[in-house]
Amino acid sequence: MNRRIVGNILGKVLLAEAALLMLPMTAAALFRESVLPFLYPALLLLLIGGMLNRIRPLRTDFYAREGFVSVGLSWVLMSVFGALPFVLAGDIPQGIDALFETVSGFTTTGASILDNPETLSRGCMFWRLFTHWIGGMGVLVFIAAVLPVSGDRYLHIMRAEVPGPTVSKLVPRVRKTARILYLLYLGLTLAECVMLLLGGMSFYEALLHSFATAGTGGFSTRAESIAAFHSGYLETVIAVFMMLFGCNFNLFYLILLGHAADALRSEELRVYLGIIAVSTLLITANIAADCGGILSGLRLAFFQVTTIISTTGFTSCDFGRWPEFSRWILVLLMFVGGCAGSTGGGIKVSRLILLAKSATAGLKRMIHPTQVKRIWLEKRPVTNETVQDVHIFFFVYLFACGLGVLILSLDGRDLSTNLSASIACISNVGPGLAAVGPTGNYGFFSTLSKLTLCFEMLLGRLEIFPMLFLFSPAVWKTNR
Amino acid sequence: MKIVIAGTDRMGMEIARQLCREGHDLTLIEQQQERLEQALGSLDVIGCCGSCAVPETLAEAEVGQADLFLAATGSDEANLISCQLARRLGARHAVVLLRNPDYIQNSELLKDTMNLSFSIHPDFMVAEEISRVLQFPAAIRVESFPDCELEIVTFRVEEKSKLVGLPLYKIGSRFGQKILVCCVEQNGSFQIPRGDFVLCEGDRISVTGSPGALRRFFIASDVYKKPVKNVILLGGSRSAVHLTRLLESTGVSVTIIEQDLQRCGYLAEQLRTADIRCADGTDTAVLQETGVRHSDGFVALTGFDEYNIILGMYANKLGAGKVIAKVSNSKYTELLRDVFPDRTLSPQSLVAERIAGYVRGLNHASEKSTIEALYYLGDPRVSATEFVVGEKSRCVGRSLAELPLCSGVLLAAVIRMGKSFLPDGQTVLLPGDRVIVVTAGRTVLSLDDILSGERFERAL
Repeated sequence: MNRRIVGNILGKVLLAEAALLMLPMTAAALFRESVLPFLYPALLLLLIGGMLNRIRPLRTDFYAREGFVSVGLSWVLMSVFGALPFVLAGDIPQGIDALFETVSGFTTTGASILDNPETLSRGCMFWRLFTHWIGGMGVLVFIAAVLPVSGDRYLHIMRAEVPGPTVSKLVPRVRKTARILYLLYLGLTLAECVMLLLGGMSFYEALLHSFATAGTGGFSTRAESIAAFHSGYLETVIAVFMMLFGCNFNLFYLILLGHAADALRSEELRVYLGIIAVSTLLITANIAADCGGILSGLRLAFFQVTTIISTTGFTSCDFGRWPEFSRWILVLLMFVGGCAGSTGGGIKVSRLILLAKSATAGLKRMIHPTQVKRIWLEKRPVTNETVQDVHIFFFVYLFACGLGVLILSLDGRDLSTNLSASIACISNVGPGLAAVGPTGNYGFFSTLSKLTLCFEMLLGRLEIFPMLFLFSPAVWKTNR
Repeated sequence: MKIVIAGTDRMGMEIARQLCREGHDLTLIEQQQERLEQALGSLDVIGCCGSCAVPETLAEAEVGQADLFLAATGSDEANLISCQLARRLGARHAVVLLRNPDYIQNSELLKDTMNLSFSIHPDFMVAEEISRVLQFPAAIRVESFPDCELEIVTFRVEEKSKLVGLPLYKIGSRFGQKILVCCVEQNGSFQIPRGDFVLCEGDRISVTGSPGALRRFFIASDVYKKPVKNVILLGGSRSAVHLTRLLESTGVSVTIIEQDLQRCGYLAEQLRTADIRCADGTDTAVLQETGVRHSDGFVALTGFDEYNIILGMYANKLGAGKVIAKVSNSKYTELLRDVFPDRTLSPQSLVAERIAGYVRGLNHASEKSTIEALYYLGDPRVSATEFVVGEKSRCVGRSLAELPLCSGVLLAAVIRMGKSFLPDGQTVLLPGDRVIVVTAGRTVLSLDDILSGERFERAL
């Protein structure tokens, strides 16, 4: 492996994080809080990042392996350094808790160890929700957008960091693609912020909630999450934006170019919207009697369905008290996740479509052994390698999730807590059921369990492989 | 510029690599998905899968918005059809690769009726390049600028050459000719040399001047070798046919060794005066029998790089004068630089350079200066670019000594009223002049790029 070039990229990532820390520092300064908890980590990052950035690569070879390793390591390092402000500010004194909160932030999970987030200082709160925004689109994509980088090299990084079974560029150059993605991301975030302001939220909270929605994160400034605002308008705005951020960003680009009809014809989008519609209706029917009428049932169901399928994790009510049927639908939705190329987590709708199609084709082949069939997605044939990759992904995803439950069960909690915690973390949702439900938090888990969950969150956000390859000796060999 | 390329075989990829390096936005069209994915993994481009002769595929590749459509698949017919379609869909320029000599004969007619910008004939380009080198056997490359009596000749400084140990500023006085050394390759790195640069054995240097002056310089410095009189061609490919015609028109006698009897029949029909042998050229006995030992030139043009390389080396050992091998795989070219005796030649690189030059011309048809032609001197990093000096150019009206030139840039020649001369410090550029700029390791897209910005400000 070309270690020097990976070191160089890590240096750039750390420098970028130092720059991003300036924002919460400004917020802290505006609210007349101490800026030191942000200044010290920023200086440290500047020092280490600057040193790594000075490494001059001897060779320029950069392949899939280097791409995976740089992405995996970047995210681990970013999380470790990102946890420092919480510890230094004294808001989350335990190192492991701060790490959990940061990983949860960067991976846009939104699982919290805090009993009452309202006790955090304003600067830390800003940083906590801002990590969602950074993690949503990815920090390496951000670097590709702002720094002049070699496109041939960055393709492997985009592949490793952008979710979805295949990466499709919007325009020929990686750099322009990254720029378009970030501009769309920024534009949608600001649009949401304006809508929330119109609903009477303060600018500070509107901005932070927009960050958290855009990254499909799910941290909130309030302990009760969105329910605390008691506003149907705000709930609807956030629900719609969560749904939008769960869509493939390529579609927004198509719409901007004036090909709205093509965008709406997307197979993945239709299935995604279909799942939302069906789940909302089923849950509404199931809970209408308990929550006073169809309309309020619809409102609650729509919000909860969009928050779970987009893997955001805001809550507008305690769905832990819903009937079994509704709760299980939500658990299934946790697996589904958003569309490929969105900021959401989970298995992704397009992968499930491919799995379903490949299963159907496989079953048919058992009946007609001579049949040859190609699998199609979005009116294009899909290569067998891609289908196989999806199978591998699905297996490892479930396996990792199950292994996570096994480790969590050492703590002696009930199955529904452990299972939903593991799923909610690997799918980057946030709230689960029972003790980790909308009213609970992850604070009670042991250190081992917290580390396991951190790892699961990173696995989920980076779509398994970059994290997995960090543990493969073959990847680390210098000679290939 | 937005460019769509159809075909990602070796030719298409080499062109794509070159254009990508020059900063253009490329879309590739390829029928085989595996091949396309391989291409997308190695270059920063997007692709779409399908046949380029189908309008839907072209529309998906957004040919309508493309500045240039380039058909480089292996099939002439598909290339022609796709170019036609691309023009109809709105591509601003269309360039087609043609291989079949029957089509090439009428390429001007085809170009007009089909509304193409120009057609490229890789086999003919190879033949023309080889013929140029054989006319001037001492050179590795010869680039001649049309209608202005100017050439750039690249050659190797041999072991016992009079040039070894000579600083450049003495060359003029020593040999009494107006020539200019514009680029030196020493140990694989290229540079624009200064006057105190001392030549060593093994350097590859590029020299500009009028053909007459260059010839006299080569004779005086003992670099000169007589033009070849008889040449052996290995492999009766399409380039071989064209090359034979070119060589015979200058009085060179040609022997072609071709294995396939039927092909030999065709060759004999096409080339009445050439000596055609039906034999296996990979058999060394055959080569000896054909008289490689006494030939002035040996050109290996078979379809296999490996045969061409090995047999070229063998011919050199036997004592053939000038040995040239066609090597399609451009990766081999670098490996062979120090091993292969004379010249290896890649059709892909030739075509890619020609197209890159054409694209640069399209891209910067600006008022200040237009690019007329572009040549690479043995490596894409070193190029000789011909500009027309525009009226608004900042280079106009001051002597060259006053102009703040960047490093790595050399004004190699000025062409005024159809006559070329080598500029000196007192030369003042006038609008309408054509200048030839040699650059190493830097891309010059318009004439004003050769001026260094800050120094220019200060000079004002």
